[in-house]
Amino acid sequence: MFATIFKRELMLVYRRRSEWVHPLAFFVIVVSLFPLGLTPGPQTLKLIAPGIIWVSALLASLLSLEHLFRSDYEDGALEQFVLLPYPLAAVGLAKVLAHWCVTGLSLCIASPMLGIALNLPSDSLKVLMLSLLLGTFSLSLIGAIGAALTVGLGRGGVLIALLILPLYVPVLIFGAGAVDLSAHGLDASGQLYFLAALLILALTLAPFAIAAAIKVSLE
Amino acid sequence: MVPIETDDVSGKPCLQVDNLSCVRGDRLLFKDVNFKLHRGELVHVAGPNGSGKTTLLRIVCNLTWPESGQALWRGEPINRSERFQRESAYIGHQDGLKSELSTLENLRFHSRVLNADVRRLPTIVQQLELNRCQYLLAGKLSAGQRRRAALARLLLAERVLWILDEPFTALDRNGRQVVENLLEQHLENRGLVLLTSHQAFMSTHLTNHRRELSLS
Repeated sequence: MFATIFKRELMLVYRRRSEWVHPLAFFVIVVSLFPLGLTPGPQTLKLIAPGIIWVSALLASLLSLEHLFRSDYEDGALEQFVLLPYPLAAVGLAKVLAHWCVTGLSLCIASPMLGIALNLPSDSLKVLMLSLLLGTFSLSLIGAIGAALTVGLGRGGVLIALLILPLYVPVLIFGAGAVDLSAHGLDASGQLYFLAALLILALTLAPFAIAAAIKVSLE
Repeated sequence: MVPIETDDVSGKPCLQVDNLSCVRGDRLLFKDVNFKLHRGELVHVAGPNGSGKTTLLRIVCNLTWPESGQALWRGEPINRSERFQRESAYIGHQDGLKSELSTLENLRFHSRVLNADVRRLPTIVQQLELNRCQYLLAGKLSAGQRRRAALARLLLAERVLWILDEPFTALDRNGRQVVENLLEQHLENRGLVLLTSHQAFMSTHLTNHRRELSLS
């Protein structure tokens, strides 16, 4: 059942290309806007790069989440999921996982290129990718709660940002912190472990919150 | 088609709704709605627009909560009955089809999640006369074709209780005939039907066998 829903979601995202191309393009453009606006030297650029890349990834992930439950809500598929004799939390997890496999992974894959553009040392690119790999999945899980809560509200765009951005803070701190440490030639494994811990926390708790939020939204 | 359970020889109603009341905002939609549904019966919920027909159906399938009262399935409250989820099927206003998938892909997905036999799909497609549009994207279907595809889920699911919200909207005369035949067959197989509809049935069998529940 999990695999069936997962596959269906992948197929749907694949056919709605704008859903993952737009956040990815947004990510690349926002990151490249900062150097243009700040006109920093190579040293300053290296200092601010982790923060820029991470904040942009966070916003791109938020942007992509709005569509997560929207179309299922509008065409009634969400109702049918609720009525299945199958835990709604697992349905939610399958949807988020499929969504992340497309949007989160594409951000991860694009990030080294942006890291080089922002003068990050090549050693820290690995940490950048790893931190985004762990971090964006947590962001997707946490953000899905907000998406599920606001799906019934027609225009949830800004509200979801207000609800979810504060919850993104820990992931941002450890994610950008890891890249920052490694850019200074220090060991970042401590921060990465924290990201992994946050991911496990989100993975175990978020599906239940998502299920409860979907039920409330459908009422 | 519908599995006959051994425990309903007792004559007890399968679905029992007790004193259901519902408030939306500060408006009372309906109060003290009572009805019982035995095997082989059809209840037709009637009432003007905005009288709470859809809400009543959504309460009965546990998508919304009532202000007071409860619905029981084989004696258990529906919100705690796993059996209810395995034995009921709901088709609402929205059809639950993904526009980006073809009709057949949609139905195949539904048959997988409903644990239905995929081999029955061609027959069901034939029965609902969907052959001509089975490879079209669901987004390109007409409203009537979408409705037929949504109703195909009922046949896939093989559930005892059908809860249908306006199943005839957008269907042509021929489509209505097909759906009414399905309903007749379902009742003959001792299935239960709870539906809302603004139109009268064309079939005399259904007209004679329906019970009306009027919300005002």
